[in-house]
Amino acid sequence: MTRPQPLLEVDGLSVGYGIVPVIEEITLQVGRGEAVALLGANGAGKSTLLKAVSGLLVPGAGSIRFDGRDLSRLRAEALVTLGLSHVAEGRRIFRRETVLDNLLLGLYRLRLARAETAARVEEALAMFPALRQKADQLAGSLSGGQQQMLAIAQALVRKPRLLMLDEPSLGLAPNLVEEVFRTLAAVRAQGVSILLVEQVVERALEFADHAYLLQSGRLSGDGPAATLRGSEQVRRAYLGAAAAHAPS
Amino acid sequence: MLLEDLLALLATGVTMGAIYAMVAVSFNVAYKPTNVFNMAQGELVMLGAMFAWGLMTQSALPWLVGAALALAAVAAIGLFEERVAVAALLRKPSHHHGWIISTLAFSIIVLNVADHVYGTDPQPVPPVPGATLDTLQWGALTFSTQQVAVVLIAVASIALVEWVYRRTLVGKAVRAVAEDRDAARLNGISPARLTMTSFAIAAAYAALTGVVAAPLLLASTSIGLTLLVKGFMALAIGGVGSNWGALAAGILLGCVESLGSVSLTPDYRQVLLLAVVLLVLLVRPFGLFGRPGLREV
Ligand SMILES: Nc1ncnc2c1ncn2[C@@H]1O[C@H](COP(=O)(O)OP(=O)(O)O)[C@@H](O)[C@H]1O
Ligand SMILES: [Mg+2]
Repeated sequence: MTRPQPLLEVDGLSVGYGIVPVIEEITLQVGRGEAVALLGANGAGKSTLLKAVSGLLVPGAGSIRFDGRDLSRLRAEALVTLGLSHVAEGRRIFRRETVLDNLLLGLYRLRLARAETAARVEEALAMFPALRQKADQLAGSLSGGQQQMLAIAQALVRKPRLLMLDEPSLGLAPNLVEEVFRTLAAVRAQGVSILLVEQVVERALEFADHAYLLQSGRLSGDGPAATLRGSEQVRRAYLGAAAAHAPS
Repeated sequence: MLLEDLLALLATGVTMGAIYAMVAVSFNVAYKPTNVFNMAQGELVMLGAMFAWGLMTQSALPWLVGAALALAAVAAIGLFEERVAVAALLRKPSHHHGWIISTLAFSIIVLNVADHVYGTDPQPVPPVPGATLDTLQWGALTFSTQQVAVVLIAVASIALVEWVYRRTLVGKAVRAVAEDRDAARLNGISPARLTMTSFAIAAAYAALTGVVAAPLLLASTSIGLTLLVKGFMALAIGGVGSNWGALAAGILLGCVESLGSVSLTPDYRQVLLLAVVLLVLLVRPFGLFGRPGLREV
């Protein structure tokens, strides 16, 4: 099965917080309109990879290209104008601002005309009816699921070409996890490329076209999501070091 | 004490308090997106006063023109300070409060240069247009219209600052940076740009404080340090980040100081003010209107 033309190309990427790299020599692609899952145990370096792509961390080596353009010299805050949006781990919405203001802040950089701003906000609220009812409430007062929806909506108002999500279902009840995936399916149906980091492995593989496995900072494999489902390879990547020591 | 004397002292206290509050608010504006207390804020007030003297008294420019030029010049100096003394430190996550040293160093340089240029003699600055330094009698109350102008300008400017933070998107963007810097960046909000803007505005606001306070205090290079300390006290009592709190705290400090002048020497007045600060912080560690910071370390 051939993959679509790449939108995001990560090549030989090494990133760390100090001098010691946390992820090393990572090479992966996300195609146009493709949904890619990035899987791996806790501490494997998934969030670090996303932070490097979105410019929060500066790579030690390697390159990151988006739509053929080199991102390594760009600041994180400039990337949203290129069409790249990163929904960070842990529902990092602005808790002291209202739901509506969170959406407006999501559009801050784009400097859209008033009418276009209103249309984008309206579209987001139409997609998440629960948020419409609470538009004027502080985001900090929302339930966990609603906060996650707001975090996604805040990225979607920008109409990104690539949406990166870091464990959007973390800490949510099963029915809310389903709601997150339904939302992502709708986003994908609009042709948006998705790079998804998830702990709910089976659900993520069911959703994605392609998946990469990250183990202790290195890629340990990749393949079509359908072939990886239920495979031993995934199980090992997920259990990480624990599996290596466990008697079988 | 006669009622007239008491009221005159309170009028002075409220006026001085409004000035202290403005210094505290200028701290808050620069602090918001950075968690940095700009230790040069007092000397920026001083520069505003000295520039006002140079432009309005020496060069005899109209008040509005002189004030606008003074604010613009000090804003540029504040921006320059941010570039040389703050920006590089904020880029490193491990800066460990190095800004205390760097902004203090900047402050000392500004003071030394100002001493060199202006000498140490206090200089007169004209009052705000429409106001005078003549005392008016209103019942038992004596005051000047310049005092009234200072208090009105403090209240109006604090209302404006609050309005910007609460009602404009750029103000909310600054709050967003203060709440979660990385999340703000992922939404396309540039902390670096808002920090530059905030430092320039904080500096201009300090200059405004100097311009309106100078007719009452006289412009001299020694006013910066005193105002820095009093502004900081108002900030601590009012609660860091709370601009209305700073106004209440400034007025409290100004009145305590003014009433204390009846029976205390200037040195003891300082001790009295410190006692007030400590007392408030003992009861409310984050100030009267402050709240524990949500910042991560
Ligand atoms: N801010 C940080 N400073 C230093 N080390 C970090 C930081 N964040 C994560 N790490 C380390 O980097 C490694 C990978 O973390 P992370 O990318 O968050 O993993 P994942 O998202 O896959 O759970 C971990 O060993 C973690 O301890
Ligand atoms: Mg993570």
